[in-house]
Amino acid sequence: MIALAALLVLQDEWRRVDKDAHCLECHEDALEEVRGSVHEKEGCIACHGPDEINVRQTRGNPHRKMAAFKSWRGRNLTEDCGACHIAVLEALKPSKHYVDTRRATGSMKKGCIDCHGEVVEGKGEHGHRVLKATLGLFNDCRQCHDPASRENIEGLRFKKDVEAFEGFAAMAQVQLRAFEPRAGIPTRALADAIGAAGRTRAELRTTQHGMNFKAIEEARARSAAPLHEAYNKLADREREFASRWTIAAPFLLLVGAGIALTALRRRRPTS
Amino acid sequence: VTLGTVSTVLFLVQCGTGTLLALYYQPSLDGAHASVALIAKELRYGWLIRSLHVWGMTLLLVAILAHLLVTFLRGTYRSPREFVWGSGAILFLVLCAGAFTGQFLPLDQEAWQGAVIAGSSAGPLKPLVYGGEGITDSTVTRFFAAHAIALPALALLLMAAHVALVGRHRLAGAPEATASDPTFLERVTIATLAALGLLVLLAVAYPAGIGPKADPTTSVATVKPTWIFLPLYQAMHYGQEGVLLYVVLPAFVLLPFLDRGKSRALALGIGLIVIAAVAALGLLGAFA
Repeated sequence: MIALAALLVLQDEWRRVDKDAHCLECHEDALEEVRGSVHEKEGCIACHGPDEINVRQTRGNPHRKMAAFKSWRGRNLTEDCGACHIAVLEALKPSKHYVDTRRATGSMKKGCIDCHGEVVEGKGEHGHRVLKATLGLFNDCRQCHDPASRENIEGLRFKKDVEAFEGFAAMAQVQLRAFEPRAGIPTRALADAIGAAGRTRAELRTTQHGMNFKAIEEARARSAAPLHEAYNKLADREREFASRWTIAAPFLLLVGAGIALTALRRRRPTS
Repeated sequence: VTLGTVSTVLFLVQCGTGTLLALYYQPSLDGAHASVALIAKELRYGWLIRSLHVWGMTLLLVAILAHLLVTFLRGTYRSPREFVWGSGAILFLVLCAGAFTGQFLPLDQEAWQGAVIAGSSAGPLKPLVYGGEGITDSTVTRFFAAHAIALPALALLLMAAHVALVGRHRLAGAPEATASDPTFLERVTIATLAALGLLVLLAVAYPAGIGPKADPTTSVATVKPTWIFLPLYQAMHYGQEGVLLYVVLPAFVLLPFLDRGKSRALALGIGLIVIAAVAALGLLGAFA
């Protein structure tokens, strides 16, 4: 019995894999695909789960159960991504873009990676690279929506609005940098507005997943108005500051007159 | 005496503007830069008060330097007025310390690096200067207390001593520099008005800006100190600051005790060479 057990142990040596280093012995190419992204930092196991591999087996599939994506048909991948991207999942839930990948069919069957996944040649349908949530993704709406559809047009308009918003915030930032070291020109309002705009932009990154364009456009406009106001006020403030000479000049003239009068008095002490 | 009166008036301007600045200044690592930015940018005429204070320090040091130079060239520092010169010279050094501690208070990059250099030069006294091992809230309160309380108080005491000593030696003073001179009051009035006019002109034309908040993790290679410290800065660059600190400065303060001979030629010659050398160091520091 003991000998049999020993034989089994010798034959199959299962090692628990809970460190990425083991994964990379075979899957270094996968690491290259996530290089530089947050998914590299999180590591393989954060998404795929720990597993056990047979260290003796060099051919075929050495995994014992391949906890996560090997059996993705049995899992809801949208919720898997949502385990970390919590706020995005919340925003996504009321929209039609939320898919339960266990039941979904047609063009939307893989959840998040339907939009965010990148098709890599020779890697099956999707590799490990995940497209960042850039506004460029809104160009791809027509992959599923008719180019003339309300969804596609609204999506592109939202993209244009946010790009203009971002452009203006960047310009305001440049202006702020230029004015920050200068005395006499209040910049705090602009700095605050830029900060608020940045927070709004970050919020939009999340809320735009709900595709409720009316609500997100309102949020954007709420933040854009004070930014424009603060930006425009800066020019007024600069003009105001330039007018300091209207007070300084008479004072300096007065001082000059004082000096001249005293000098005259000194020349003619008797008068 | 004229330049002395101008210096006194400028010192009073520093006291007045400094008190106003202290109303809003927050001596802490987090609050310092923000509060100076508030004064310089957001508060109405805050920029003017701060610019007057910053330019006032420059004019004050220029006035005292000119005062010292005139006294040196006239030779009126010699016995029995050793202590008139000594108190004036130490007063100048105290005001330099005021300029240095004041430069630190906005806690911008320049300030931070100045404090780092001061800390490393202080050697074993570093914990005393910093109030700990590194630059912390304690450092800011220490610099603020020195700048706003200790140094002005010391300066006032020295000024009182200086004026009292001048009064005592008045009869032997520079021939025309006495209050009995009928044109003295006019001369002082003109000089004071000119100094105040120049101060306002400079403060309005070139308001003191404020650099970005100090980031201890980055160091800007060429952060230069206030002009008065440029000779020292350049001497440190050559690793020869000891000559300046331990030879030139004591000689400067003790000048009347060194120059006791009948002929002034030697002292005048050496003095002019040293002045030229220090000025050259300063110019090198400014432009090299």
